[in-house]
Amino acid sequence: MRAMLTCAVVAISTLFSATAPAAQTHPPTAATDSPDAIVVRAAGLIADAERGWGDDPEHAETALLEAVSLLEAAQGAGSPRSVELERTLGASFLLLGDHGRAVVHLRRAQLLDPTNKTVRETLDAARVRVGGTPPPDARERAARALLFWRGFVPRPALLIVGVVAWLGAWSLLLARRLGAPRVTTRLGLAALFASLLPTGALASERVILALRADAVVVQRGVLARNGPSDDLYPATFTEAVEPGLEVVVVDHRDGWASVRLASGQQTWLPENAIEMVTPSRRRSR
Amino acid sequence: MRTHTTTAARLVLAALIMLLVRTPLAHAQNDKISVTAELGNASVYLGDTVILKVIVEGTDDADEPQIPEIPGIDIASLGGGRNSSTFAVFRNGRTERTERLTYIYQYSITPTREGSFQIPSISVPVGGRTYTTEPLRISAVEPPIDTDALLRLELESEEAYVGQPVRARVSWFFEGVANNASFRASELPASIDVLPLPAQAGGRSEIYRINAFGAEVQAVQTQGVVGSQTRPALVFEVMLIPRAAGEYQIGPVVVAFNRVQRRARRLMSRSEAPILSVRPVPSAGRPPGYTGLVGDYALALAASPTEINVGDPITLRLTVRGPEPLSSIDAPDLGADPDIAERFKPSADGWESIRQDRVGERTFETTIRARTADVDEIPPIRMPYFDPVSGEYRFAQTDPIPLEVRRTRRVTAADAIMGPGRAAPPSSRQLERGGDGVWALQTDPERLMADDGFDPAAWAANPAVVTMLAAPPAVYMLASVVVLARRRADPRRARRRRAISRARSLLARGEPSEAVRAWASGVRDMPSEAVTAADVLALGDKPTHADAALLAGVLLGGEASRFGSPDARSTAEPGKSEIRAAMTRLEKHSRATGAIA
Repeated sequence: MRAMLTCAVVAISTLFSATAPAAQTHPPTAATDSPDAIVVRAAGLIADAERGWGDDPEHAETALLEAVSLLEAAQGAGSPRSVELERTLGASFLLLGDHGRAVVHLRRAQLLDPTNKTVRETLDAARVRVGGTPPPDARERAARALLFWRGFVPRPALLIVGVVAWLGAWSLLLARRLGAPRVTTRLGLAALFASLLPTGALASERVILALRADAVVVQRGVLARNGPSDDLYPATFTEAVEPGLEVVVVDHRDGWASVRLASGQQTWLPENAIEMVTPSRRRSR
Repeated sequence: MRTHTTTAARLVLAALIMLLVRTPLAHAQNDKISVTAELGNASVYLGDTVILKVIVEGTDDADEPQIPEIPGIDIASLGGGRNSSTFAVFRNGRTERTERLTYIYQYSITPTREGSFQIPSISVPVGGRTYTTEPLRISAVEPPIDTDALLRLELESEEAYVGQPVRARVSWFFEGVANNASFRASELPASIDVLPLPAQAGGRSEIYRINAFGAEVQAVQTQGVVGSQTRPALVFEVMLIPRAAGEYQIGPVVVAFNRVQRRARRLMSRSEAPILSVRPVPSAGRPPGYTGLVGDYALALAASPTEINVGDPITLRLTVRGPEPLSSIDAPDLGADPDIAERFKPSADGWESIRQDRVGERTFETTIRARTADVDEIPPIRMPYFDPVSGEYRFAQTDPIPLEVRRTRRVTAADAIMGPGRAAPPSSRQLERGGDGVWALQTDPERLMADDGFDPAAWAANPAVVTMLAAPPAVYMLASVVVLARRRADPRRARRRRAISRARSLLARGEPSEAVRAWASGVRDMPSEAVTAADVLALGDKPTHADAALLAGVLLGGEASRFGSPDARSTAEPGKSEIRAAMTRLEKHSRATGAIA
């Protein structure tokens, strides 16, 4: 269903312009360093790891580690943003015991497709191993309420509904202008309002996600501090924070990030101990 | 074709003739150029200014000449400008116009000493050639001393240390009315900095800006006492800061002015020239961190908050009080003070200067953070200076400020993850492998490489999509413009449309008679109050036209009902759809027969 909707969106854009991007396909290439070739090799290693998981777990783990490295290299080399790639990375890191990176990649997969049930379940499983789903504070609850639709309505569907309603609204208003019965005005205005609902939902999602700088603790044994210095500030907690702890970055200073925890508490973590869920995001003062 | 060729040939010929004629004309113009120099006055009082004009005639554009430096005369350019004029002469019944092109550069000439000076020839480049002026002479004489006026130059102290600001006060007491005053002071050595001080004006005092000691100073007109007399006075102050030891003559200061009695006379007053003796500050006993401050300084410190946790920032506001100028003063480096550096971490940004509000006072702000909970006060901040009165080095220092520093509450990581009161479940590295469930790994490269990065914003930014989304409203706007334009072009038709539209709504509301009246008023373009059944019947080509008769009947029935006729109730009224159809048919029929346009 989602693939059909995506195809429909692409079809609309290509229908109206020859310059619109065409649907991309990625045939395997012979080049050893191309993202496609790297992914093909990684897929082979993953299959290898799957086969040997029960009999030779050590070999399977080694193969999976190599596959994960290759997949991350493919991402760095410009591989497309794929839900399956992120989910597989997340599940692989979970299998390898790296809960921090597992949560990072699963959060990225969820950003790409919030309706994907497998991604949601895998992320839940990862969070259980980290320490459970953090209780949301008031701000988090408000954001979730605004984005309640993300879990079950695909974005392309919203977009298509919005576009169709928009075109229909103006067609009705135009017909009225050219002499159609008066009722077309009401229908047109209703369609115009209907077109604003899905586009407003998409816009609010974009704004909310753009305002947040979500990050995940990926290093083990990291002590959170009361300020941006190991020498000056005491540890905020008596023990190191667990990899996989999800935080929101509030500020950056001198190689440290001021982060807000799900409980609302703020602390400081070294920047290299966390990884941003959206890789390009970095808030500066 | 031939005509075009002839015209082109004529144009080329004319251009050649113009070119040939133009060149000698240009030379002829150059030949008429003359450059002269004029002085406003060949004799000037010392300190007064006279205008030197360099006049270039024969052109209205000339490069600015370079005036050579003349010892004893200050020369400043006042810029140049065109000064062309046109003369009309009536000769032999014809008006002949002559244009005189002139460009004038002006300079202010101010002699700084008595004597006679020669202004040498001035070279002026014009159109590639250089013209020179004749040399001029100017003599500068001192005006007579005004015995009634008094000019005082007083130093706060005639002995000072290097770096010690010394206030110099110039007071000019005059009699009667004096104007056009120009002050002149002997040049001070480069090792003495001059800082103009703002005028301390009273309620009715007037402030003047004058040039003295090479700086613009504010002078205030006030009343002063000379002997037993009160006289008007002009007073200004500057701060002298010696940067090297030695004996310096300060002044004299001279003021030339016009004293107005019956007529204005140029007179002058001259002050004494006191000697300022400057000594170096002693090297013995010079404390570390001494930055060259000489004078009497004081520090005041405010801290907020004073009840904090370890690591919390404390904002410090430090006020330095001392002799002006304080603009270049720096607050003490907290990191260099071991008493503070051991207990606090100063901000890496250092002190930040806050806007200066008062003379003799400067404020700085910074933050510090307590390193441990054992800190119980902010120790005194110290700033060394040399006291010229006692001849000793001293320290300005702040009072200690008591602090209450608390230890930071320590909570567990589980608090952070699960919130207070809940423990985090132990994490496990051992994961069971499940077939196609949540642990299933994707091994299909095509699916791993599928582009799922659908971004609605990027999609909406596509020009084709923008066009697709913008086209319908644009078409709607265009259609609206066309429709409105057509309606404006045919107001009768617009009235008819409105009337028919109103008729439809009246019919829908169950007022058939009024609907027919509104419709007929629109179709016939007449006021609705004036519509009668005859007007409706006239729309049919014959009185027995069925639709016209039906609508006329509706109109009559309505009128009868309104005026209470007993027949009105017995008349069977046609239905809404029947009336609507009759109106449509009759309108078409009337248009076809030419009954309406």
